[in-house]
Amino acid sequence: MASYDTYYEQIKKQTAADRQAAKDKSNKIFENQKAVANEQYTTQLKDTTSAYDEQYRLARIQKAVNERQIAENMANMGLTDSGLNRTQITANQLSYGNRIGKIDTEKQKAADALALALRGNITTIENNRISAEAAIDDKYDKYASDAATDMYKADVAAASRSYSSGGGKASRSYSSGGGKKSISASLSDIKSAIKSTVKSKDDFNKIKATTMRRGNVVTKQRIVDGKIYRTYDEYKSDAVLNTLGKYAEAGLITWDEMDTYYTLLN
Amino acid sequence: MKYPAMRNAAMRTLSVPDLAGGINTRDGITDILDNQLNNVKNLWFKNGSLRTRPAAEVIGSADLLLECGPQKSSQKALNDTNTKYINTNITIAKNGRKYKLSAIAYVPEDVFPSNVTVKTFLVNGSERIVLPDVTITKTPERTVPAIRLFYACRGNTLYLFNGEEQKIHSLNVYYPTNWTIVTKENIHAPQIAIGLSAFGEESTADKAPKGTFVDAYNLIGCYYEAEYTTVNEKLLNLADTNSSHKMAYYLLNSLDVNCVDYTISVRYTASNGSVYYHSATVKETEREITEGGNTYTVTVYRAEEDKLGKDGKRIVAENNVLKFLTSGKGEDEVIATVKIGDLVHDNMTVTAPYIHPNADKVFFCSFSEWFGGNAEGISGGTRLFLAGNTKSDEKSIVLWSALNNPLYFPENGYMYVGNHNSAVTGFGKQSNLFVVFKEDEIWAAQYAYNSASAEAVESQDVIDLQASTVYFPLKTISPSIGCDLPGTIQLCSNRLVWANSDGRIYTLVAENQYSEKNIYSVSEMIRSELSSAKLDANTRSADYENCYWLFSGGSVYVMDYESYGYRYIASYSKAEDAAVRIPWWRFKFAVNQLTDVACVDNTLALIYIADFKSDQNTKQYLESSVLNPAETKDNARDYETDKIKEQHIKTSLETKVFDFGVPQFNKNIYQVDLGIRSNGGMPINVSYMNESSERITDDYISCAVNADDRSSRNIQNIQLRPSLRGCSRFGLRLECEGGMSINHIAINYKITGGAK
Repeated sequence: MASYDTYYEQIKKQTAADRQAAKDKSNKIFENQKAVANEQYTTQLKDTTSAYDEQYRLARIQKAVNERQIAENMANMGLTDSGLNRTQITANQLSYGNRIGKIDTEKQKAADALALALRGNITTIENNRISAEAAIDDKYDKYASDAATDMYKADVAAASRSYSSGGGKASRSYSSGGGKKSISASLSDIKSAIKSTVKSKDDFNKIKATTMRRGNVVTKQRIVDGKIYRTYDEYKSDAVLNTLGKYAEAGLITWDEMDTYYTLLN
Repeated sequence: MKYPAMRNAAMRTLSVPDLAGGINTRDGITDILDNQLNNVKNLWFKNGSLRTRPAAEVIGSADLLLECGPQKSSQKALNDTNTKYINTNITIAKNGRKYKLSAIAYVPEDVFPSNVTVKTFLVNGSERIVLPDVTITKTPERTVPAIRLFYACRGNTLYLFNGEEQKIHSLNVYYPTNWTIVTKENIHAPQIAIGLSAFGEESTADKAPKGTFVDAYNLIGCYYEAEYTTVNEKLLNLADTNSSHKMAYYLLNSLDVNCVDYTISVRYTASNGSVYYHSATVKETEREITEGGNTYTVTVYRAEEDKLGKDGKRIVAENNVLKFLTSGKGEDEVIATVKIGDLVHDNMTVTAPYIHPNADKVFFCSFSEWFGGNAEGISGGTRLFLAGNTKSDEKSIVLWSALNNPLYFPENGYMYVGNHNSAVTGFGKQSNLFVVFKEDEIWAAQYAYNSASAEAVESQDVIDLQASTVYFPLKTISPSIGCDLPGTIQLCSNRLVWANSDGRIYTLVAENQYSEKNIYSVSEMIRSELSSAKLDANTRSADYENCYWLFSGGSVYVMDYESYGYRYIASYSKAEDAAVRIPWWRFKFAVNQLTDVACVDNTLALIYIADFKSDQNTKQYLESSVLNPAETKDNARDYETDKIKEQHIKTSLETKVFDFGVPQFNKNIYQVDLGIRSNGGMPINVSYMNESSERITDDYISCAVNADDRSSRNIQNIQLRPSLRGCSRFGLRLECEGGMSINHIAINYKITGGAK
């Protein structure tokens, strides 16, 4: 009889590829989200630049307008080429420089705000990615843990039955008594689990009608040669039926009993 | 016994205290005012008496214009058909004095009949400064008076716009050594557009350059400027500092055959503050292209800089694309790139060629005048206005320059004034009006200025700041009266006065376009004479000694514009009544070919061509004479001896033929009393006239008192006793070969009865 850890590691190894595939898929989604965020940033940065382009253009035009206005006003005051004229021209140049500087600052602020927003987005996406990855790990770890527990229990039960048939009544009584009790408790769980999973007979029939597989063997029947076949979704969702099948497989319940449980569901 | 006896008729006196009324050729010889004259020559009423006009004294040395004869050029003598007497209103301040600019253009040699010499000179009274000559080549079929040229002056620089060769000559009037031709590069290149940027890739679908137009192309220019930003952020990935684009820029105009040998210049400031310069000359080259299996040769206009500049780049321009290359040639050329770190706004100025196709609008003009601005006064201006375009479809155009820049005529700075068929003939300025004279119309423009907002320019509602912010709204002054003698326009007592070839001289009294009585004729007293006078394009005028002087060759008509009739002409209900109160005088100068008159600093100089003929040769000189009111003798140069000869001024007058208010009765004229001021002792011939203006008898008087005293303060009464009996009308004629000054006339007479 293998230990729980052995089962656990075995199942982990068996599901490692699925786990990595699930992680890759999840990461791809987040990478896409990051790419979208970056693209949005680039676009918004360009839009911002364009918006400030107009301001730059207006500043330059204002400088040109002022230059001519100063020249005309000075000429109208008889001050053409005077010291005041030079001062005003220099002042216009400075004013233009100041205006450009102000626009530069505003534009930089806007760009910084965009960069900040991008960093926030990317951080959020990265956090979500890490969370999703952890959730996948949890899910697979739980599955491995549950399955290992079940298998180990099955091993224990089988060993117990073997001991009971070869060892005497007391042992059988203990075993069957304990077993029955255990089964009863499990059955109640199974029932509620099945009820929550399979809402109606129709649903169950629907499941039955779909293609099922076990390893590479594909069938339209759920149980063949005492083995439970599962739909793809069930594989994915670690469905209750799987557990039910495992119980039947393990001999904890008969296949007829399993049918009974189905009937109970009706 | 008492015998009946005839009553002794009373002695009566007719007294004319002054002869200030001027000549009247309109009314009958007995109908004119008592103080008017039926005829007058070389006399005017000045300082309280009718006196001899100012003497004309030749000044300086003569300038030989032409010498023809067997040994010299066989060119015919200069006259007004082969000489252009250039009329300008330009005055130039130099060395503390003001000078009138005058010029003539003539063909000095018939060996090269297309070579026209333009002689320019500055005149102030007794000073004449001859500036260096300019030789221009005229179109063979064009006559000399029709050649296209005009002057303009700004600051120390005098410009001669040579429309024949489409060149501009300039001269520093302070140091007038030589005229220089203003090079294409020195003609103002306006900054046409700003805010232009790189397009990066030549394959860009939108081939048009983007930016904002702020000024207009220069009509006489060969270049324009455009301002670019070398880095176009739109072409970069701004999130990536290494993102770059090519340094390729659209020019505003494609290079074409007109641009050959012109230069493209680039100046840009790099982000490190360094300024780099590049230039390349446009060349015509041929290039083979293969299309559809066929090879063609195409002509390409390309400017390519040979060497890399200090920035490691060189420029190449072709069609309308300017590129910066770092290495390679032809298909291997590598275009330089810029990154976001290179960004400096508006850091590149490109000067590129553009030869304006409408330069004729400027070069075919024939006169100029400065106007505009609030501080320039009546004689100044901030814009150089041009008109008199000799092209038949541009006759009515008026153009103006940019602010204080006679080398920049924005292509939008012009207007067609009034009827397109009639030419603009002259400019005048009255109050704040710029008066545009046409052959048969008068218009007026005013200076108007408004500012443009940057937004309006940005949206290109305003595309030419020069033309949009300063403009000159027009209004009609007269739809029927014009001026065809631009040399006659003067501003007299704040009113414009001008003459027309129909013999009328007008004044503008109101600038109200809706008034039908805003222009009055002031020449009614001499109109019959002016109608027969040769008033042509060479007629000139001057404002001298508070009189308007009209020169037609050697004949001069002078109007006193301080008279009541002139000043209040608009107040008279009948313009005829005002006209008799505007005194006109008539002078004669020994000048045949008057080219110009110069009235500056309260001096008046006549500029003319003087002839000297010998057996072999004819010489013609440029001369000028200044008027001297203190002298009564003209003088002239004797070219044979090169000495100055004096000549007495011939003066004469004919008074009204008085009928003494009772034309139907005979009168006995006993005595005539003349108040005569000292005239230096020259004899005065006095004649008496009857109603037919016939000379009845002569008398000679001489006012020899104080012969050396030419002061007009001395006065002498001369009594003449004509002893005429039984005449119904009586007048006086006075003639003198020399100075004459008449203060008053008094006639003692008796009415003897017997109506005729």
